[in-house]
Amino acid sequence: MALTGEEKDMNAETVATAEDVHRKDTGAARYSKALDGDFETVGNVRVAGPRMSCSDVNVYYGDKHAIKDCSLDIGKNQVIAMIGPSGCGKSTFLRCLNRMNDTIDGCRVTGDIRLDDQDIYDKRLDVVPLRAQVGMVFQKPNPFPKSIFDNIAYGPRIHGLASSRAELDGIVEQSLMKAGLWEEVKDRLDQPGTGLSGGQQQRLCIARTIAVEPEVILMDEPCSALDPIATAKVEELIDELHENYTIAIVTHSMQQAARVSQRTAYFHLGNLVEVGDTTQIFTNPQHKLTEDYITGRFG
Amino acid sequence: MPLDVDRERDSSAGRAVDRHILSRFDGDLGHFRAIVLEMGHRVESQVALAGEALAACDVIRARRVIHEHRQVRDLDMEALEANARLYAIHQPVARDLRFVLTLSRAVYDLERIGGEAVRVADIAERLYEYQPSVRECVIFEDVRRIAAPAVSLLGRSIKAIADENVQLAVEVALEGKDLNDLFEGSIRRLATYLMEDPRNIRWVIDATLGFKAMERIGDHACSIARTIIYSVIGKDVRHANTANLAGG
Repeated sequence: MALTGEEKDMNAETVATAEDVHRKDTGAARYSKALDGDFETVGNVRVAGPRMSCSDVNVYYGDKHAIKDCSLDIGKNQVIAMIGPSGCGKSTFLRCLNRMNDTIDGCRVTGDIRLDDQDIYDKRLDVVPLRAQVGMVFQKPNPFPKSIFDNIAYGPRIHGLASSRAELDGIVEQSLMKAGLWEEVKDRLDQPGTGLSGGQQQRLCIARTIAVEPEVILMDEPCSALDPIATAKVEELIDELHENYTIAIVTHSMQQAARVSQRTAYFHLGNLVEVGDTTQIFTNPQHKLTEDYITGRFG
Repeated sequence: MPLDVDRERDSSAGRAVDRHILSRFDGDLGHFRAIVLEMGHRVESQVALAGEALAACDVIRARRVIHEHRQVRDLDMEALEANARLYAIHQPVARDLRFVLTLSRAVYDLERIGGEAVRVADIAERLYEYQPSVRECVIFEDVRRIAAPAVSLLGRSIKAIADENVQLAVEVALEGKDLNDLFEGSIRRLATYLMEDPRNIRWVIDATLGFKAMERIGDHACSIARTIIYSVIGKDVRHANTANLAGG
């Protein structure tokens, strides 16, 4: 049976977690001690006037408890970075924020997640507009096999955001401008999006997300498939975008987390270990697990 | 003060913390640390020698201090290179970052301490040219009262770097005040020589400059100690008053 992309991801996560558990058993006893019983997040999980607010979130993949009682606010017009070893639950947590986990069989989410005081797990809520409000950019650039123009225009069309061709043209131009791609592609909007370079494709995907006027943009390792120059351009873009959007980014590059975010959250084995201002986390983390991970002494 | 530089360099990777996943990081940080400790030990013996040179108006020792400063300057340059390498290649964070920052500030303080030792040695060398009488030489003996505690503060602040020892660092930071009091006392005693015979003024001025240099050495040692506290606990106490240091 062929696995879908999501299932493959899930399997990869399960394997990584088994390694982590093994490491926990055989490794330093201090880790297991820190993780026994009630786990309390170090640092302030709340912010004033949050865009999204999560309380006591638990996620289960079948029997596996992937996220354990995590509470975290995502501040308005702020970039929050989520870091941690593979299988720590950071991507799972990110995917709770626009209900992407709904697409995974056997995945159960409990707790309270609010976007501007609206419970996003409310049964009456339609997930399609939710995913326009909370857009997502993935690890590998995944433009539609359509022209550059249609890649951007697709969302506004299905959400009915444009009433005329001129308006649609305007949205496409604005989105590409905001994503810093306009100058590079304005003369070839009719060419396929898949013909662009990797970095351009990723910025195209960001432009596509912006086109439906989201409030929050989720990014799951958006630069891990890009070269350093393309990465720098995407990071510069994230920095510009946070003036108008709220961004949550999962990254394996700690330097990237340090560069682009204002707040950083460290996850370990499904627990939110520590959250704080990025500068504080990288100069003076309070939890030993955080310190060992970011200084490269993990395990 | 015995100089066991080779031993220090060998044990440099034995920093009292867990190993880094990347052993090259431990190697590079250990290298930087070893340079700073070697610089510390050299400067410490320079200060002790400079104090002796001034107290005994001894030109031989004075010239040795001046001559050996070259090695301190070489280490200073080596330290900058090691420091740049750490930033460029490893981008240290958290306690590693604080330790690297502390080492690089310590390098600055140690270089200045070496400079002050040379200043004291310069005075001793100049004295020799003027050939003061035995009676006049006595004026300078008082430098021992300041030099001994200054060397002790410096030695312990270097040990505090080596062991990343906060208790020791706090102890040094608190004792800095005593050295300042000793300096004030010495200045008052120097004034009595002036009252005794105004022709002593030349010697008293030189002695004042020498004593002041020793007092500054103590200040630099305290600054190193306070930076160590920042390195270990992550709180900047470099400008905190001593009462708060003792309490916290």
